[in-house]
Amino acid sequence: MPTNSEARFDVLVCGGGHAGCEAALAAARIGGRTLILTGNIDSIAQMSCNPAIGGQAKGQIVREIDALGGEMAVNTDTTGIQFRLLNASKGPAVQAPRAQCDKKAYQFRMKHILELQENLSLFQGIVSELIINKGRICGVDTNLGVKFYGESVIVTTGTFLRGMMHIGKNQNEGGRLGDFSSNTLSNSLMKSGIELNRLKTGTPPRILGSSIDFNGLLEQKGDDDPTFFSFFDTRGAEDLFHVEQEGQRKLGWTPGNQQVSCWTTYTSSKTNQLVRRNLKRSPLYKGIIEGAGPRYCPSIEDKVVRFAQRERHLVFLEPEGRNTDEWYVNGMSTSLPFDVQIDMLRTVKGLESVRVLRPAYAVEYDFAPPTQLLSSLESKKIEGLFFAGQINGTSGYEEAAAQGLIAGVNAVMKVRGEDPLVLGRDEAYIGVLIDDLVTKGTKEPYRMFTSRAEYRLMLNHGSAEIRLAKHARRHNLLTKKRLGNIEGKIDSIKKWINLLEGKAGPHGTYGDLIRRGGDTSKLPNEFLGLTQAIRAEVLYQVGFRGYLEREAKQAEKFKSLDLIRIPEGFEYKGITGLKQECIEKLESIQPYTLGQAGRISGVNPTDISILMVLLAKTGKKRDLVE
Amino acid sequence: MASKDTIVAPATADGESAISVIRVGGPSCESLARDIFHARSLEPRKSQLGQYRALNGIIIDQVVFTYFKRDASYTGEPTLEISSHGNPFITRKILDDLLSRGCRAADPGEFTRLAFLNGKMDLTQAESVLEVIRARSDHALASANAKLNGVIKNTVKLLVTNVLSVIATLEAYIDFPEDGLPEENMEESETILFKVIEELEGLISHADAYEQNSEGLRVVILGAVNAGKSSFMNAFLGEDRVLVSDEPGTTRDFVESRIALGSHLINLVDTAGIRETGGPVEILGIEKTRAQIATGEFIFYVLDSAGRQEDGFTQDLELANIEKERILVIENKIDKQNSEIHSEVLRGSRHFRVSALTGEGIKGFKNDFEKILDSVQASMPKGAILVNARQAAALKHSEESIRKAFRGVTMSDSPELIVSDLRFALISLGEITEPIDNDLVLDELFKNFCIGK
Repeated sequence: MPTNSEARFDVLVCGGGHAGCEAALAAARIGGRTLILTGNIDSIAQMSCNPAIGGQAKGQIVREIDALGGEMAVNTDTTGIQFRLLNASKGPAVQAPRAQCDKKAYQFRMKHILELQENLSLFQGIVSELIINKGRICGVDTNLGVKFYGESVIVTTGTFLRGMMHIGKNQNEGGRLGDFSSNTLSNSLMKSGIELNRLKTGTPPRILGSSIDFNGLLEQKGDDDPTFFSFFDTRGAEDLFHVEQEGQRKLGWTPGNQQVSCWTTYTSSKTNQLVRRNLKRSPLYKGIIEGAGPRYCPSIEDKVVRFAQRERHLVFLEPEGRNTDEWYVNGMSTSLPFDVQIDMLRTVKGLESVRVLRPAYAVEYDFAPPTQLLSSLESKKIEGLFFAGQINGTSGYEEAAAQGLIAGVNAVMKVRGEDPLVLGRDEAYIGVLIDDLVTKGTKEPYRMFTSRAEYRLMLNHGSAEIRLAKHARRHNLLTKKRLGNIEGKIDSIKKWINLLEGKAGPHGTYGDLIRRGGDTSKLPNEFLGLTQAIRAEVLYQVGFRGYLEREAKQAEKFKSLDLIRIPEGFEYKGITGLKQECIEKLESIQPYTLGQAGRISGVNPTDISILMVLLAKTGKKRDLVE
Repeated sequence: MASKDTIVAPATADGESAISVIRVGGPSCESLARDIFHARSLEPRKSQLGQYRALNGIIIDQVVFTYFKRDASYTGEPTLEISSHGNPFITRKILDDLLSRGCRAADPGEFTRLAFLNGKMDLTQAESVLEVIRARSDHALASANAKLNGVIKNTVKLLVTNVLSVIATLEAYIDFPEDGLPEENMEESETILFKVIEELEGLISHADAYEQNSEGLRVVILGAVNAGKSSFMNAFLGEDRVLVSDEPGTTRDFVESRIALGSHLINLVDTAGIRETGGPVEILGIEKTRAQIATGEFIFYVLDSAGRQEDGFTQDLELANIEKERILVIENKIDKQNSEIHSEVLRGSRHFRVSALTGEGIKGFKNDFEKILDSVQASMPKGAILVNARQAAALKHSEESIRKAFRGVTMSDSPELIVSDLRFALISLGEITEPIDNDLVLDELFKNFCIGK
């Protein structure tokens, strides 16, 4: 398909990061004619911060992405160089896979996947302006003066909107070291009535591996039996490693083999002294940086100041790939001047004669508060305009990719005039993520934690396919063959739960045996012969039945409210019984359903009762008119 | 709009009134009516007299109940209306019983809302429905108990803070397994949860004390055979008589009657007397009477104004070991002849003169007795009256969950299961205060732990 200004697309994706890639692939895979525009094709799917995917809550998200036909899971499995299952000693609900990736391999593979994708065009260009006509998006203009037209546009510009990097007093415009920043798009968005705000994040220094003294450092190896992100059991190798199956493109290794290690070390009291002495030189503490940074990923300055009693802090040394000696110093994010950075690193055991390849820096950027979005990630202000990723105030590759996928699907749904893909809080972390964003907004870069999910026990990583199969079917996100396999898996799980709970022996049912923590090798041979994935899920659902049923019951209670739609443009002003504060909140969020309204802080159950009555009233009026 | 829950709420205002109406709405109304009233025929829209029999088999009150079929009720859902005697204790007992039968306490204005949503109200009435909903929920805050409500809310808020801190600690180790947190130490969490359980137990025991109180105070009637005990009892009960229980069981040998006196509920027990002589059966009866006397908060000792019975009185006191403060001496039959028994033996006991026959003095005695009961209640701990049925149910649910979590901590269960129980407890506690925002957990977590490797 030729890429030229004459070409009209269904979907334009602005940005080639983790959100942009999933958005473009999702849109193209369900048949939308899609163009992805990126400022630099060489930095597609770049890991701007640590070279790892997954971890607590994020690992679950990646598996959900896989269950919805996304690419991140397979891309991680095929380019991962170390795999570990976190919280392996705890229950299945909070276990999460994590992988170190070969940073460059990850990018190259993703770029290749985009190139090979049917319906998808790729073009290097910086989007400078949105083209809007009567409140509806029509296309975008680029810095080259080439215009592109599309019915839906997805903005996935990450930290690039008015990105400003800080290293001490030194300030550079850019969304990432070595890259540009986009100022004109910010202006264009504001002109269209989209509110923008500032956030801040940071990244630690990268160092040369040969300058690390590994003696006395603690080695952290990968798991012997790696947990992958993609669901192997429901698809053949041809679905899994589609790029790698073709001739020259074969991987140089089998996923999970020849893993590399990470290492841990600690800062020292000398580090603390250095930081304290130089605090006045930190732009964070001089008030130069205004954007709010993440509490879960504090700079070393923050750690030293806020937890002054701690003598030392943990540092992870993570390799960035097989074919490079660049290492990531996890835990040493800072905005202190470069000379302090070097001195500071040298107070860390093993880094006494470290050589730095890239300095740490803080970056401030524009984000569009996500309460301006519908649950479909479409703007409330401009029809057909979608937002996904860091521009929505999130942080993390996984959170970005998840939003990208949803926005990609919904951008096509918009074009087709079909219902959007909206996941429930009891169905997926992705559901929690997007509902939190559009309902509550965020004051710091939003990262997913399992503790944000009130139905956490139902969201174990192994059940992602099962939970999301009905959405995958409705929106045609998976191949027929794989969907068939998933549905077979679901049936088998249901059947075995019934069997194990049903047959009572002298010591109760098999279910009782499982819940008592008894010897599971006594279960029927036919069960023990099933695939690991099915066995694990059955044992989980049976073993934790009471807890799972309690969560399901809670979820059910709120579900009925989520089924009551609030019509667009519903007038809250002047409603008898609603407090002014509540009216203001409802007006600014414009909840999509009554359930969402109830999750806005400051809206109480009485207010929901009142709204329920009014919604019924307007509903009836409409019936009368018709 | 058919709901799955069966909801319950008092339809009349708190406090005393001639009758009190409790409204039950939802799918299980019919089965409830059959279970509670043992009603064989349940004719819709027809008022029936019945005895409200609680789950434990005890009859709470004689009531009038009406069953309405779906679409033929105020709300459009199956409804059961129960009109009991207008006494807060009875209302409370019936509410408690319905809750323990699986009903849910209705949200403020929920019945009105349902009525509207089911099309049982005119469209033009919508505005007034909103006002009712708002008024009901404000009323809950601005009721006479507002101050006491404030006390329990603050207590519960403190408990919520404690539970949140334990959750935050557990969550830190769940969500940040690689962030170099200090060695996990559950001792502090264990201590905090233990204290929370103790506090909850305290609050619940107040609720239970209230419950006991709502069984009514026990008043035992003693006296010689011809003193006119029974006629006095009937005169005392008069129109206020609530129910004569003929339940078999421990009270078989006694006639027990229940009466509402002001806001107090009393159980009046007529005894066979102590000194009646006779065979072994009577002796057994005497032992039982002594047992009754021991459990009675007050003793009405009825004397015949004409008969010379002071000696018997003294003997009874000694036999039954009754403290004089518990005794109210009733000098009956003052209409016959006024002999003024002012014997030395009566000194130190409160003394009232009545005629069961003419009714003279009965009203005055009842007023005086009510005042005595008021002063007794005023001296009870404040907590005893501040927990209402809805709050008590929430407290019990949360205590149950926290106990489970506590066991989980001591047995080193997987933390996400402990948190699941604690979060469930927070949902219950949130029904007393306000729904608890999950962001509070994260705030607490980031305050206490240095996260971020």
